[in-house]
Parts: sequence; structure tokens; C-alpha cells
Amino acid sequence: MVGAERKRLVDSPEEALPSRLERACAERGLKMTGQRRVIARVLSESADHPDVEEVYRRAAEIDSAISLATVYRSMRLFEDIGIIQRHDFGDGRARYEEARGDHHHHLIDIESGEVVEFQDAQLEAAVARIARDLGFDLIGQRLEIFGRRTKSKTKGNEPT
Amino acid sequence: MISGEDDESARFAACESAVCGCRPIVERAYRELVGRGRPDRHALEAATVVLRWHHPELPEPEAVLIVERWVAGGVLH
Repeated sequence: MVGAERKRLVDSPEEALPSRLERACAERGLKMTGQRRVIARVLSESADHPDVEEVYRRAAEIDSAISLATVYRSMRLFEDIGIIQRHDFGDGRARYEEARGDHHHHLIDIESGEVVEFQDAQLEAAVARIARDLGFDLIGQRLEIFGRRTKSKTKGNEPT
Repeated sequence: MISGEDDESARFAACESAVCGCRPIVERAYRELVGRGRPDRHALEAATVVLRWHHPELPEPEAVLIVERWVAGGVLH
């Protein structure tokens, strides 16, 4: 977050336009207190993957009354409703970012353990149709595909 | 006579042996899924599928225990 932008938040946190995370919270019916709004704003405007302590440090610069416990609770809540994602980059600290708007799935190569992300509009449409045909509103889905790479043809088998 | 416990230990040892080599594959699948934001439990289940492809002889509960042990520290109970 740049200095001028942070100063604007400090000067008039209630007047600024709602951040993406604030709007996502509102869409999910989450009551937004002033402190939750500040935390959501810090996360929305972070270009990196801050851990909880870093989010607390940035939020406290805007509202010094925010406690670390409030930040922990708010981020747990945001994670539970799916608007932020937790990452583990192997340094033992959970780091967070705003959940990506693009919905994607994972294909797992069973021979190497590699995980490949993919999107497919036809798949999304099919899932929504299945839920609708069964009389449900689609709330979420989970799909993992397991496979192994197709063996490439050897030179000797190639057509001439 | 080989007891059931000895038989189980032998299977565990086979999974972890260099000859098999599936452990780093299972660990990679788990690590990459968690790294992409999947919940620990989902990543564990997927890694168990990978292990059972390499070792279809392992019953599911046993495979889960092995994966949990391999990725210990990353799984919340």
C-alpha cells in the first residue's frame, strides 16, 4: 500500500469506496464492523502474501485500537467464508491473499505428484446444470482429477 | 508365522523403500495442493489417492495413516 493511499484510509476510512473484500463480505451477509473493514481493506490492497502478524501491523497503522486477537478472528472468518486463501510456502507461517475470482480445479499427476491447475467453462456450466436439474442452487464444488501423462510415441513408431 | 502386525510393518517398509520411490511423489502432491490453498484435509485425501495408486494393496485407513505420518506437521487433527 502506498503512503498516500494509506493516509487516505486513515483520514476517512468510512468514506472510501468499499474494497473488493468488503463487497465480498457484504454479498455473503457478513456484518462489517469498522475493524473488520480495516482488516479487509489491508488484505485487499496487499500485493504480497502477508501472514497474520503482518496484517496486524498494517491494520494497526490505520486503527491502533485493533488487537492481534481481532485480526486472527477476522481472518479465520474470512477464510471460512472463502474470501481469502491460506498458503503455506514452506516457511512454517500461514500466509494469506484475497481469494482469486477465477475458479479453478486441480489435476494431479500420480506418477510425479505434480499438481496442474486448470479451468473449463464447459465443466462449470455442466456442474451448474446438474445442480439445477437436481433442484439445487449450486453453492460450491470440489473436483480433483488424477492422471498420468500420455506416453509420447517413440521415433520408431511414428508414421512415415 | 508372521503376525498381522509384522505384515503391516513390512508393507510400511516397502512404501518407504528406495525401490518403490512413491514417498516423494505423495509428499509433492500434498505439498503442491496445500501451496495452492487447498485445505489440509483435502490435500491429505488426494495424496492418499496417489499412494493407493502406487500401492492398491493398502486399505484406505492404513494409507491415510501412512500419508499423515509422511506429511506430519502439515496436517491438523
